[in-house]
Amino acid sequence: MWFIYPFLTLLRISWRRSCFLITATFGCLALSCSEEKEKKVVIETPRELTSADAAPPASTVIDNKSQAPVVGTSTQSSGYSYVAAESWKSAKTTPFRLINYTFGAGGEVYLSKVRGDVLGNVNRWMNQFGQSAVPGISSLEEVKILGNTGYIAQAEGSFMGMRMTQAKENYALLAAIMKDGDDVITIKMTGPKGEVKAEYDAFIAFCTSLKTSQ
Amino acid sequence: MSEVLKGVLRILSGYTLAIICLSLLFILTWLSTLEQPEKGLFAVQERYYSADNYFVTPDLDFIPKVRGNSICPPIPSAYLVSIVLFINLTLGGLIRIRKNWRKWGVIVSHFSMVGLLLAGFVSHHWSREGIMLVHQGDTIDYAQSYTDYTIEVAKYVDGVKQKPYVVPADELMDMEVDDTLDVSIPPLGLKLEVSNWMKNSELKSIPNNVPIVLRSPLHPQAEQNLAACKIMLHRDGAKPALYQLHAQLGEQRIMINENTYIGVQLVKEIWKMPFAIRLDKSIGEYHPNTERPRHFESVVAKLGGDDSENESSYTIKMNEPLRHGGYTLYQARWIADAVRPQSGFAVVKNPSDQWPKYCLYLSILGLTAHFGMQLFQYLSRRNLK
Repeated sequence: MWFIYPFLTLLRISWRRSCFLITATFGCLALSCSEEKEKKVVIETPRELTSADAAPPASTVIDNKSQAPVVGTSTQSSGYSYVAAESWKSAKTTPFRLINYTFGAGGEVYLSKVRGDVLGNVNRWMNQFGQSAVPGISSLEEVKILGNTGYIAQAEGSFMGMRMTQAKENYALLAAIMKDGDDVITIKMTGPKGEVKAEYDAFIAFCTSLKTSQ
Repeated sequence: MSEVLKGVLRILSGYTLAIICLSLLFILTWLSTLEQPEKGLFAVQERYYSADNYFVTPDLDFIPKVRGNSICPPIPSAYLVSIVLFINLTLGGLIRIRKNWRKWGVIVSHFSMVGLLLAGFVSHHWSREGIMLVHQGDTIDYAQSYTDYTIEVAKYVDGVKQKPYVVPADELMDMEVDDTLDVSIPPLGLKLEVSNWMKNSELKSIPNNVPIVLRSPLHPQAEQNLAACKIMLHRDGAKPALYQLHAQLGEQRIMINENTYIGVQLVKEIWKMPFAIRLDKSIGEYHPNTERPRHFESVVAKLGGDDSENESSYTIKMNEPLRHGGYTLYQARWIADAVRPQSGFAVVKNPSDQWPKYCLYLSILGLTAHFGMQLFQYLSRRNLK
């Protein structure tokens, strides 16, 4: 409580009184810190209807479109919780695939932790689809993953992944990537073009719902 | 009375503590004024004067930093100092001031200062401020908070909105991005898990109708912040579903059956006024080549209320508010439009609205009486000589 000392000295307050003042101030601090936030709320009574309910206030609404409900179930795996689409089938996890799902006829979606940088990984994926390299991450769509900014990469064409001996035609990539300290978190969806396109909403919902579980 | 208690009361009611408090208030006012241009009025008020913070660390450019942390240690906030000063002045008035008929003026003035602090305390905790934005010719019966967001959940039956259930702004506005709030609405059979609370955010795009929301730093003008959050909605007999809410996204609809759906939206807190206002005429003028209003006034009709069911007409001008039913309506904004100009009325419901005025009247009365008596005594003594 440094701020009290000069006053005490100037005003010639005895040390006994000083100790009391300091203790009282700390007491106030301790009381203020002991307050616990209530994290559960039960709402029984509604608000009265007003003229605002006749039409939404124009100043706060720019788009009245109904959001497509992101249907899925909350799941936990490998230290993460997330919402996975009902149509996805859980697959065995591996050291490389911390979360692993399959969907449709040959589609797969998995979360990995890899090394390197964001752009390097994106361009490696582009190369797997025979696409030209992306000039910079600023050209990519952004998405919120684990509270950080992630980037969405998309590609279509002939897919030749690692350890594959034959390319798969008419395939698509939908991936999200985010730097997390020294690691890079990737969520990669590959599959037949039409199926990947149909899973776009579910994929974004999966990415944005991802949380580290306690 | 024990010696210890006497000692405690002597310190708490003493001049020393009063001087420390007044000096700290001076320092806090000075520091917060210096911080205000960069951080914004609302943010600085929250840090230095709000009951949420008992201590504050000044964040100014001229204070050196070590590893990003200011070397200036925390100092007590204005709220804590004011509470201590209130106790000090109250005890000082009760214990220290000599009570006799010659001192009554001083005692009245002293307690009027206690009253000023009490008025500030009541205003801080129990006053409510919002705005009524109304176009000429329209009638509205609600006010909306400048800064505080709520989540409103309402059932629609055959397209008709039922009374909405509101997640209190106090619970939401204290949340951080990692916090979770469990909300139960038994009448609707719903449970919401609110997470990813962002005090300010940017709605990036809505590809395939799925919004992407990015967290943004707080805006210096708190009114401009756009809150966002995710809700995991648990409904009886249905699987949980995740929704993104954003201040600019409007109402999200969850279909229950063909004729019924639930609407969920993130909006600035709305409350019903005890009376409605119809804006009959909105007149204004800007300073030349600026957007600063030079003059504005509104002719309004007050409809309903406790005292009368009849219409009453009022003119609200700068510094001439409408006071009714404990509410005060000030003309705060005027938006020009050739066809339908708009007026914005700042709504204040403050139980201690008039207390500072009465306290100052009391103080004037007390000091006038005290100095009047002193003058009278002086003149009497001189005449005797």
